[in-house]
Amino acid sequence: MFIFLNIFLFAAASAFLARTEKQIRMSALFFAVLGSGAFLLLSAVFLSGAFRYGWNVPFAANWFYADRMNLDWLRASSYYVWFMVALISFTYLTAIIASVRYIGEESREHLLTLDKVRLYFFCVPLFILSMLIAVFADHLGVLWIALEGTTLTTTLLVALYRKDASIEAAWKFIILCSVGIGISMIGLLMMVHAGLESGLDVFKAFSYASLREQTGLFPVDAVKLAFVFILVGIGTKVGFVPMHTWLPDAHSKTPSPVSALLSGVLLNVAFFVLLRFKILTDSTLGDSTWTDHLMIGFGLLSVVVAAFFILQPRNYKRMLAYSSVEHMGLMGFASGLGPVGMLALTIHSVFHTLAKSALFFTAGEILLSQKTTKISGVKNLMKKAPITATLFALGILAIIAIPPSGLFTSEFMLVGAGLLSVPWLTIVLLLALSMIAFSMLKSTMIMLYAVDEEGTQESVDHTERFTLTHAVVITQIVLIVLLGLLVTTPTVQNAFTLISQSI
Amino acid sequence: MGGTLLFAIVMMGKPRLPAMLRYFALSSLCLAGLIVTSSLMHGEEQPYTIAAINVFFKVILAPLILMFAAKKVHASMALKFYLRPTATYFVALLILLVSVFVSMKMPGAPYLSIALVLLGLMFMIVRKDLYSQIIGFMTMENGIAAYGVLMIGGFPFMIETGILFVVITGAVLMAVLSRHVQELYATGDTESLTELTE
Repeated sequence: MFIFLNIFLFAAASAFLARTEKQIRMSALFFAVLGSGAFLLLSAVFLSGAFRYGWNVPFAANWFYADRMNLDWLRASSYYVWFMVALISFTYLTAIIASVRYIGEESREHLLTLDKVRLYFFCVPLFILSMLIAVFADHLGVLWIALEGTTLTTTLLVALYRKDASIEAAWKFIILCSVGIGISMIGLLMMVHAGLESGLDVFKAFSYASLREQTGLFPVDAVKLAFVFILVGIGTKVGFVPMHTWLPDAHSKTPSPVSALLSGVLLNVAFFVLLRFKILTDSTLGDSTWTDHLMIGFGLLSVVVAAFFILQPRNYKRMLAYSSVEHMGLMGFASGLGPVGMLALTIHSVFHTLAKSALFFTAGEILLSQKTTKISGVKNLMKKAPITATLFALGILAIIAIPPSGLFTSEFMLVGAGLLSVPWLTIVLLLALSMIAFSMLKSTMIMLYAVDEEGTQESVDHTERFTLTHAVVITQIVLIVLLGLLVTTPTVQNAFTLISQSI
Repeated sequence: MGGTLLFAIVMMGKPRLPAMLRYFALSSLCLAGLIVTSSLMHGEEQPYTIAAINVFFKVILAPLILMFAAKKVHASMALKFYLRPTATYFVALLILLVSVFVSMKMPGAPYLSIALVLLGLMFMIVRKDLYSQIIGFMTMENGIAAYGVLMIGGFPFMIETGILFVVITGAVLMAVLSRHVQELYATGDTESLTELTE
């Protein structure tokens, strides 16, 4: 199965083998369909088979564990892993389709040279590869390498336009994330040390699965300390508030399809890694109160601080990036609320990925047609580019959890569970959420309907064409609504419950 | 073991880039010595291979890359401080005291790696040029490697190589970025990077 990971290496190599700009884009599209198709199929087969026959089926054993290569390093050991794989591959496919249009347009306008296009399509598959490895990783060393790999492969994408601001964003990104991941390494090694103390040998002590079997024997204080290091370190990548400063810069300076990947899946991947260690710590401590409090604290802080930064946005991509900080905060809050919170978190991550990537794709379209990322520079969009404007409005409605969107279901569960266990904090959370909803709607209204005084005539003249990106975004919004309705049915909720419990 | 720390501290006070890189290399060399000693004690199969790749990456390759990147843009070799060398040494001394205290309180944390990680972080804060930030990061990485060697007895061969490869790629990327910064702003001073603030 892991042989399919090689597709991404081929995809990266093809960016150098193809000669013209068009060939590069087409080969990237071909490999994206191949790679994400393979992994989507695998996860569909696996999830449906596992739901029907339970986890320990011979079918799964033969298919997935007979894979001798790197058996100890990578392991597809739970529903949640496959769930994440499905999210990553779906977003990869949509992002590459959007890139084919976006990068094509940029290079036609000579904003990007051929070398930049090559670099772009070289880095993106490697980025996806390192995210997949981070999800599959069982060996803590491999996990660390993959996490740092996600930083390194995206640094050059952040700096792609070689302007002052993008170079600065890239510098902040690489320094803060590298130091953060370095700090998490200390935590990981402390976990390994605890494993060694409890009698595992050197190879077993690096394996997450065998560490989890041994948790009863770990010294409590050492594991608590290790979790704090991991929370701060990986929290930097997740974008929890005191460590979030790189996020709005990096997410607003990258080309839009990559912003979608960064906001939509990379944050989820980092969060997944953090969750795994939360569970390891919980089973060492015997109950989850201590980690729950930490997660609720960081989560609430992220939502509240993001709410204040969203109040006065000047740049719409930055606004979306702060909205990602907010949603990661919500997921952090949910992860501290027990089983119902975990269910809410799982549902939340699907819809956040869909809605946020759709928004970033439309933001890319706005940037292409209006040539600015300033909110004040985009006016009367409904007249100038009606399709993009409608999709952007729908995306914003989805992200602030207006009912047909599945985010409503997850936030409803979250608030319900929150009011039971931490009522006052939940009220603060609700206040912050409504602040965010109102200020995002306000900025959107300015972008869509505000009349600009000069030059309305000539821009209204030409009509907007329907592009590939629009098709992608429409698919995503349809999915958000359909899945959003489906997720209220008992069958789908049971499936999500199984996924959230399997982590 | 003492050498790693000693050279790291001497490095803190050096105002010129070549001298700083020299002491960083010496500090990493001592770390490689530590790895050899530890793997001989644990009876590993390949005691010298891991140390050799360590030497190759951290003692030879990393300083060369940084030097090359700095020479190419004619960066000024004299770097700027927030603190003067004497004050830096004083802060370093305080950090050593704190590390002693922490490692006495917590049995799971060896003195050397705490001190190196904290020194690396301090170095990134008190200096205000790009190259010092890279070296501070690498010093921190050395501290983490020292933790691995002292507490766990070293990593498996493939993992160690992977980690070194990732760290060196990070250093290369940082060097590339610092070159762009130099070209855009004509200085390696991080204080010029202030465009993205709220």
